Amino acid sequence: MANTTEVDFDRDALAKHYAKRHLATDAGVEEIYYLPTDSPPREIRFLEVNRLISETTPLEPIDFGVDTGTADAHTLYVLDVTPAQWKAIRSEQLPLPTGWSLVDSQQLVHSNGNRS
Amino acid sequence: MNNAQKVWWQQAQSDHSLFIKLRRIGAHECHLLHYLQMTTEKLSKAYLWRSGKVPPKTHTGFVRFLKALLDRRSADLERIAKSLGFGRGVDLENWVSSVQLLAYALQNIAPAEAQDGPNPEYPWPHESPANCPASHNFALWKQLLNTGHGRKLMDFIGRAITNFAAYA
Repeated sequence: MANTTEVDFDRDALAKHYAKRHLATDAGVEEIYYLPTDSPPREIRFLEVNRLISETTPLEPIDFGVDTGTADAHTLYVLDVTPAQWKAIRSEQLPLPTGWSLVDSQQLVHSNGNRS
Repeated sequence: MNNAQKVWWQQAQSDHSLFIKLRRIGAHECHLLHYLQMTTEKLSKAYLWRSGKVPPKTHTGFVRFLKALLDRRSADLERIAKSLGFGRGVDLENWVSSVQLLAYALQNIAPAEAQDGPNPEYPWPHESPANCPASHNFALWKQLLNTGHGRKLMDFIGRAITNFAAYA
């Protein structure tokens, strides 16, 4: 029998919802990338390029604790990086957290508010 | 609320109560900002422990906390908004958007984030100290004290501490 909780869960749509909200409410966010490759099916991974955080911030994804203990339970991880760190990641000078990948990543929003 | 949240909340409550006492006795602005920043840092960590996973050790958590609150399910958000003094979830959302720069300023005033500039703990610049926090007039404190946004932010922090159990 199909598990209805799995059928009802639309990760891509939810990712777009969260990205839009983050851009609207966080003045520091310039770009948001959604990284679905290799992530568990109920896990949303964001890389957020943020101009208002300092370089001292370690590259640690944070579990936002969005929704637990319900039929819609899922996890939202956000990795905050500075523009310089993002440049280093793209040139492979700075590694992503273990298990994270830019393969097939999607830029959901950028600072002019447009969604791709 | 799990045990990790309880102990971080307890510490946040203690920091906030000291902030209130320091304000009452007219302590230097640096001490007020120091304890207010620490309150928000510990409140944020208390909240982020709700996932059961260890949050980062950095000082920079307050803005993440505000964003994470808004990411709760809409039914939860309505309830959370009321517990924090807002009529509706959308009111909390709009307020968070409007107060972001002030929230960043508060979280980034910690010495580790202050880029060798004004901070509430150590004279700066580090290599040739010329400024003492205790005698410095902080623009951030003026914003917190003399603007509606600032006063609302301080009120919000107090409510968030007091009513933590309602949304943890």
